[in-house]
Amino acid sequence: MNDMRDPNVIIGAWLDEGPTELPATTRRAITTSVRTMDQRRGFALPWDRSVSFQPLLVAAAVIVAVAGIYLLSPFGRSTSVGPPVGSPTKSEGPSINPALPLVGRIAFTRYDAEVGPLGPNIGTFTINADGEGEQQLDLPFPADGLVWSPDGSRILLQSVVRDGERARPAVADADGSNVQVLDVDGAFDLGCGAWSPDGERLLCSAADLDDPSSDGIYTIAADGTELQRLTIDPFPGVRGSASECTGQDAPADFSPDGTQFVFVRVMCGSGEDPVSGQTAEIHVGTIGEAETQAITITGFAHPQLPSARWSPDGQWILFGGTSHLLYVVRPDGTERQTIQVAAPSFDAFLYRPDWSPDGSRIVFAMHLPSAESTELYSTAADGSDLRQLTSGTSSVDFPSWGPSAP
Amino acid sequence: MTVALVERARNGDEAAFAELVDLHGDRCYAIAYRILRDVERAQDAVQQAFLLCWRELPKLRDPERFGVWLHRLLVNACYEEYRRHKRWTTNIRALPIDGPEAPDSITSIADRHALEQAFRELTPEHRAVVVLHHHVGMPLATIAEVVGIPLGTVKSRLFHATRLLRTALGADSDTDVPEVRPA
Repeated sequence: MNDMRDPNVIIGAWLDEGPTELPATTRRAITTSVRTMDQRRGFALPWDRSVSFQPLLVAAAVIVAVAGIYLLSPFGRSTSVGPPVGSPTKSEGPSINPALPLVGRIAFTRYDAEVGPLGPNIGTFTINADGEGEQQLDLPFPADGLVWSPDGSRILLQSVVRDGERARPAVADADGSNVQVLDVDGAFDLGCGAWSPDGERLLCSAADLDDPSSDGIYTIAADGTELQRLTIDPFPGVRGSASECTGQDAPADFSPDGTQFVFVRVMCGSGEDPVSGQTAEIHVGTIGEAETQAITITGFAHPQLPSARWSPDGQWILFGGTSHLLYVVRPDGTERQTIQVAAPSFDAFLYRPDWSPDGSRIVFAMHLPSAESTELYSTAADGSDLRQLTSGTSSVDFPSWGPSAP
Repeated sequence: MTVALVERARNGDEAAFAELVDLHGDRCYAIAYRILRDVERAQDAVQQAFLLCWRELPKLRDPERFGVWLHRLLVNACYEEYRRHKRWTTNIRALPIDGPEAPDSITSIADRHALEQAFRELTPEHRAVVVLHHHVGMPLATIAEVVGIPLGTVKSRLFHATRLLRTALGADSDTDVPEVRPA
């Protein structure tokens, strides 16, 4: 046979065709993820794993971190609020209409030694979508993040801690008054992360390191009744001599039609320090069906900053927390795309993004190690028009973008 | 050079690890793409392999064996990626096109199509052996080590996979024995 038609030569030549160079974006994603994994080990960032249900412990860690920042660095204050930052970079992803006005209110949690309703180190605030009009909510309990109800008339406090009692979610009026802690039976900690589109139910997660049989995603009525289990977390918590990892199915969001839900499955590492070996992946489930579907590879979601948000039009799921990029992916796991935010530096770390009610913009927290700052920013859904929303001496987390006051 | 970098990375040196990614990233990506036949999934698999590499590197006892060990992580990441992707899709994904075809390529469009179709019939375990042998030129004994199977199983997988590909080219009847590079 002529060598040019030798099947083995043809097979070899065919296999040699195709890309041979790892894209720079993937290289950066790898090295940034590695750096992130290391940060968890060496520096008490405000998003320690225990954030979900133990805000006081987190607040203490943040005090140490913030104090360290101020002792060691001239930074810690952002320079301005409002004007665009950096140069917008277009990417293919959700379409936008840049002419849309900035509407709605953004709630967030601030970790700071000088503010907070009861606990001295934590406070819940709201600002207008343009970053103006900051107000602190007067809450009777230290609380983790706040999530607006779909109509903006109520707020969900993801979990509150009361002395000697298990963590529970609470709901309140939009101004923080009339707080009602949801008394749900069970020896587990319960936190909730999203309202159903009709505002009637909440998407929650139970976790108990001593009895992981109850761990998983649940939904409850907004008055705390009708607890319904949606997932069984197959990855139990791990206690090591250096750290405790609860593992968790962390609640993220309902689909706009209320038939599906997205959550982050956190898997513990092993050995003495199971927290440092944690990984996570994002799953989508259908209400009433036991099986869920991973829509990211393992490691593509941050185990200590579990979050994902369904776009108002139902087409995309938004997440961040692994690098200087934000990501969207279709609910079936296809078409994952990066949103190229014009972050000031490659070591920027973007996490817990949320859509504006009309889906035209995204709010997120951004940590800048070089400036030792963590502030809220918003960007158009294609990554352009980056705007800094907060400026202060503290760290921020749990941004939630709700509609304008009813 | 790699051994020194591995030693440093094993002790938590991120810069050394970044150099390892630079040194081995392209090769890993080329292998992953050829196993998965999908650019995005290949990137995911490479990322997954390197993140696992960073996490597990302190447990690697012999830095000299880094290459084989990394390839094993990569191949396993490809298996995982293949199965994860297969669960999601129902054969609606179009064949990927990666740039213009080389005009002087010895593979015709018909050959490519036939090989692509045949290759997709293979399991990821068979694909890995074919790619490591025909594309990387890895000795069969090393493939056995990378893939974690006996040498005889490597030969068997390579035999059946290569026969399928040759048959797709119209080169073999079912009973012909393909040529296999010496171990």
